[in-house]
Amino acid sequence: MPTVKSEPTRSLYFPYRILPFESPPELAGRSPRHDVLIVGAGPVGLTLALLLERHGVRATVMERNVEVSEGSRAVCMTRRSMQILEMAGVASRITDLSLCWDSGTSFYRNNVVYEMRLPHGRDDRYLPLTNLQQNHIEQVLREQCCRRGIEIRNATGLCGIDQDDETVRARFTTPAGEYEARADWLVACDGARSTVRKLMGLRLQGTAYEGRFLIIDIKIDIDAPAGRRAYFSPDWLPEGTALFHKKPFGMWRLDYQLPRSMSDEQALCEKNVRNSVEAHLAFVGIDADWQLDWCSVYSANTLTLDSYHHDRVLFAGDAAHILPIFGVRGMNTGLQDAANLAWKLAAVRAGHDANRLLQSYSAERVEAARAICQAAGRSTRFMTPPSTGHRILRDAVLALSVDFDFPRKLIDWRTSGWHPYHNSPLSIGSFGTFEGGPVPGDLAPDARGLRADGSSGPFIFECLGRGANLLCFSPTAGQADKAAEHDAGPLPFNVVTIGGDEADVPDCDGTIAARYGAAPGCAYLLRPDQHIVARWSTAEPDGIDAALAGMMGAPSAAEPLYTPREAVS
Amino acid sequence: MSKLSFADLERVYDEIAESIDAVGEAATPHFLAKLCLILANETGDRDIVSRAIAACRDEPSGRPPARWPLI
Repeated sequence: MPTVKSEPTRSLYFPYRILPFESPPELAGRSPRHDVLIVGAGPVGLTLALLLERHGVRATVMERNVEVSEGSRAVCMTRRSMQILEMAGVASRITDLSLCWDSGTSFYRNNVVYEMRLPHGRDDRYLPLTNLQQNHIEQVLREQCCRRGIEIRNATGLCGIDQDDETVRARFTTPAGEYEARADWLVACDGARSTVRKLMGLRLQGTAYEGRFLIIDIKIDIDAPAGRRAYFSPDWLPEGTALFHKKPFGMWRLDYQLPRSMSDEQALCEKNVRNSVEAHLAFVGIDADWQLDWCSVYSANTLTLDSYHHDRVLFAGDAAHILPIFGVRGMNTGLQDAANLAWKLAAVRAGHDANRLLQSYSAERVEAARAICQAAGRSTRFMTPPSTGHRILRDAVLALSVDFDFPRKLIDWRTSGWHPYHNSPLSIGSFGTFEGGPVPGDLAPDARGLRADGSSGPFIFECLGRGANLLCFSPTAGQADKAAEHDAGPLPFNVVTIGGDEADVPDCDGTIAARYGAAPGCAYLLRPDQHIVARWSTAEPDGIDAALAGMMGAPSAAEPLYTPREAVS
Repeated sequence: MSKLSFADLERVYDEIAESIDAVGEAATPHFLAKLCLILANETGDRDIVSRAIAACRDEPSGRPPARWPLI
């Protein structure tokens, strides 16, 4: 049932309002066919809708609730997420509201045991991490959907789903009654407790960890920069770990591991919450007034569906996988799902082989989720040791790290990044000789241009078109003209030249070419989600045509069957 | 100075943790003592072993906070 709510949630930093329900055409006896139905207006569903719209595909978003995210929930975006949100047209608005950061400190009792600083330079448009509460993120995405004419149906809860070769039929309950909506495709972006997943009888596989964490949002004035602060065995929590994060609008989040003996209800009772905050503030030496905003319990699971492609129903975000939040892996992984899926659904809509492209979505992203599960499992075992042996080793590493450098890197929390698609059939190959540079399947590294007079040129990503892109390094006039003649089928094809002052991205000191291992005449073909399809040390027009066809899912004679590798570290 | 690669250090961490769980809590001191003696003998250097023992006895818990406030 959709949520019935008359009073908006109260918050110290977000102006909640009840979102309107508007009666859809289906309830007036009409039965329009939707291109794509997206179930769930969270960050993943809304971003997917915007990315689809960019490719000319109209999605309708169904949301059971009548407010944006209750509470701050996902608060931290990686640089990769910001690049994806840029494609969705909201990056600058998000950055305006956010706190950006690049460092963190781990404490053991009252000692500093690890200081982390993530790399950041002139080639990076965004800082490594960007903090903004999920309710604000959803609000920004909703405003953009509104500008782009994307319909979001609030108070519309999924209650049935059925599909055949041609159509998905989904039933929804609303305040004005039940109706059926028909669509070509349905994407489940309805979160960890996905209704789509339940209705289809699909189960997540993996490890459910015992560790449960309590999240508490408070408003407090603390003069300190944003960053990740982890407290192992603080005096007030000798057996546990606490995290303390600064967020925008004067908010801080305290997260800590609950003792096994404490139930969720006990943890969430106001007395426990207040005592925990007081104890932590006393431990770190902050004496300031504070107000409680929101709290919630979560557990650290590493679970994924085996496939995200079930005929005409696809899964993305937490509906597809549940990942521990300490490494900022939840929403950030979901946004990469959306970037991977959007252009493939658009190509399929235009008549391309659905099975191969959508299978590649599932295979690429399931493999990414498994790799993330493995990395996340390691940091989860460190944060919440699952056995006596792990606890003894963990505490020994922490105690030794006060004075010794050698074990400190074991404390690192393995920040979520992007995941390569090296094993994908859409990663065609590397042709000719290269010294270094990214390989097919990698995300293309962004870089900032440099003009001969020393001024900055545009970033590569600012010059990319929405379809396939060919990066041509110092091409001759003939090569550039030939490059422009290629065709990416239903998606636009765009050439970006990199080289002298006259190039799209001037590279007068050759640092971009060096980063790509690129000699003059070299070319890189990029998918619409900015991952590399193929590269040539000397651009070969026939090879580029074949690679474009391969990117769109055309089978090639030499291609092995794609089986995702077991999770890689 | 780090002498094991990071990947090896991770493997050692897991192997010892899993072995402690396998031998059980009561036998853990016995297991760790044997492990220390074998590794001490492998170093072939009594001074290294003595410095390591001193470092391990020096628990950092009694020291003043590293910074204040601890943020």
